[in-house]
Amino acid sequence: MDVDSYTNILPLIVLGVLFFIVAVSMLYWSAKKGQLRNFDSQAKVIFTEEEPEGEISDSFPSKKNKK
Amino acid sequence: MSNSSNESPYSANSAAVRAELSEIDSSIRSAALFFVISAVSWLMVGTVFALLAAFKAHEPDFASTFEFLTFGRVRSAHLNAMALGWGNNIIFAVGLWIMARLCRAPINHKGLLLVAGIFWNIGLTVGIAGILKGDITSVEWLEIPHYATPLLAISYALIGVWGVMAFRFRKGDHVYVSQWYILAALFWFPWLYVVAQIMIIWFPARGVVQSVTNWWFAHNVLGLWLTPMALGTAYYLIPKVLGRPIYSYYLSVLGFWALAIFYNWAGVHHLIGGPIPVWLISAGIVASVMMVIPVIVVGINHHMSVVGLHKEVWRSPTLRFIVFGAISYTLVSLTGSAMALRSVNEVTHFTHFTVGHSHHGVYAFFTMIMFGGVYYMMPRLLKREWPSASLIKIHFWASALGITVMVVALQTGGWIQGLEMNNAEIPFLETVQNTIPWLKARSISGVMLTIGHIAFAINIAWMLFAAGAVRAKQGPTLLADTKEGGNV
Amino acid sequence: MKNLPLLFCGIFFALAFSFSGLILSSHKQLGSLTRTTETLVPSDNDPTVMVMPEGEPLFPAMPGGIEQQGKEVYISMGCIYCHTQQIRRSGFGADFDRGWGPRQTVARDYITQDRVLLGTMRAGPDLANVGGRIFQQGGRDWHHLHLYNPQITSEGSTMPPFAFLYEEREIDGAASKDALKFPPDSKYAPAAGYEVVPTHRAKALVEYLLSLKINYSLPEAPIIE
Repeated sequence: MDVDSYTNILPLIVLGVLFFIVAVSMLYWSAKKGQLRNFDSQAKVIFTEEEPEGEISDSFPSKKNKK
Repeated sequence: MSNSSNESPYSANSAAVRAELSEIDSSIRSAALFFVISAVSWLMVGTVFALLAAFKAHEPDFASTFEFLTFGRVRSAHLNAMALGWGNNIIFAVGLWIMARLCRAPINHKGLLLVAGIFWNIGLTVGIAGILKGDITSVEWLEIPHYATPLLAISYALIGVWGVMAFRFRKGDHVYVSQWYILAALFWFPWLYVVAQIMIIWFPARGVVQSVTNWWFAHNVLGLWLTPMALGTAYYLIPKVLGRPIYSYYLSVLGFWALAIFYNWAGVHHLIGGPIPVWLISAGIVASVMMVIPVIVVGINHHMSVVGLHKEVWRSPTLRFIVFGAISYTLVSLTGSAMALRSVNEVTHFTHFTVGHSHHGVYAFFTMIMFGGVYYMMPRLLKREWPSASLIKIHFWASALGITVMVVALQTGGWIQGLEMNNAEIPFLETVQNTIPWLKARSISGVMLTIGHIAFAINIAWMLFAAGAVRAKQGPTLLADTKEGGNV
Repeated sequence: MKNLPLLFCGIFFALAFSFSGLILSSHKQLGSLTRTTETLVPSDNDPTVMVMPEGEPLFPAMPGGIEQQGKEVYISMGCIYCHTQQIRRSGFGADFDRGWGPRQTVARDYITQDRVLLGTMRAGPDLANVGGRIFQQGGRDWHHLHLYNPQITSEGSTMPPFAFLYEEREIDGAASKDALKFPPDSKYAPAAGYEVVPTHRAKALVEYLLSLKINYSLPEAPIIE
């Protein structure tokens, strides 16, 4: 690859570096603000009183139930 | 919930307990039902075009005297009816419903959603009529003629705005990974669509810049629109149905960002060997291979979430479809990464292998997950059971077997076609004729899928319009207590 | 991460990155390509700079009027869904060995087209150089028969017939000079006293197909004899 083909992707390299810096600083910022604390508890927000955790909420009818 | 073992939670609970979710469900009911009905109608329209196109691919004389039914147009009508008619409408139904539920607030601006939905479907009808009439643009995935696209873009943007507003005015501080996927997709798609329209149709960019834009758009319709919506649905419904949180929330976050970063570079692999700079293609190949990371992450996460509960998965109509879709996601994505490698692409490019691959993605993955979503959503919206469990089973088996036959037929036939095409000793016409048996197999698989779709449509129509009969039926179909064990 | 602006920032940058990387940078690199002569010569002032010799024709050629109309027909029939218009380099696929073109096509070959029809499917052969393979009056006759019913020229093809672009009519006086020249005893030929003539759309489409030629060199992609 000669120098010329590198200049073609130069904007891309600059962008990539910029993008990387933004990503890292965002991660740092969110860690500092406590956005990553209690992370796994967010997996439970889908359960409510009406459709609680530990209860299966969808199934075919069982034959025993049919009267 | 103690008294509800044999009845639907909706009939069992007192109004006070039924607070939050039901209120949200009923606030979005009319909009969601509108989108479901539109989606299923487009699914049937798209199926008819699909059968025509599949049949014409091996019987070229069939209905060939009608100009508006020539292969190129019917095929494009099929693609647009399915992708923008079925795909987008069902996303608006299931995706927005999940968004509303996760935002924990009854939705506002229902009128905005309905107006946008009506515009969307009018725009699409005009667009598909335009395709058949001959105003097709011959730009893949953007066939809709220019006079219909502004309407689509506007109605689309309205729905995106609605999604962002719903998220902005959510209750509480919690955010779930499905919301990320849905929010991101709602933002990405209009951007992709508008850029592609401007750079290809309105103010065409010079030469092959159009092609790069075209495949950046078309692949991202799959990668940044259909895929996140289906993954968001799976991430919500798998733990929801099983009543067990997702295996690892960390992995789901990692999967999301890996997808967001890599997928949108991958589209250029459709131009491997084509007249564009090599570095662009290399970037596309690298991104396609990097897609292995989010795919494996999502695959592990979904697999670990259902592990040990396989019977429950099988007994749930929703999860049967969704798990089939999730498994397909892993398979189709790994195939896709492999197809982006130059040595593999040399064979599969320009063949039916790619057609098989796109159906693998859009049907076996996306559509199956959306079917699952509809099976979960509808009883909760209507507070009514599915009228027939048998129709659901017919639907599942016809769709699952049909799409398997289709993918196997097209990919085997496509691979043979590619090998033969790369061997100049074999006359070209012979390579064409050797695909015919595989194309016939595809038509058969199309008939199977049609059976599934008809069962689905009947069940929905029955549920919507034969209310009295369904209500009178003893024992709920799907929301029954499972502790005694479902019998399949 | 439950902050909307933060989440949104990430979502925005993810797509902005590929948009600028793929679309804007390819636009920057290819958007200013111009037509050029087949070869370049060193400049008189500075021998390290290559310039276009004066008086040589520029390539790719600009499309003519009827060819442009033919392209509209090509687009409206959806030909792209079975035919590509790109020749891959020698050794990658069998495009060369099948004689589909004398050189690979490059970005500059497409700069005069306001709709680029590269295509992604080869249920039929590549057409980038179809005008160089099947040409002149014989090519015109062949294309018309092939479009009217592909089984006449390529038996067993899965291409649909485009007979609706043709008109079957009673011969009134002298036979039309445009009438399709069916091979003797062809079962697709019209009854005695009738002839099949192309409509304007069929004529334009065939002119377009005949105009598809890669018969010139470009500095970056010379034809090697």
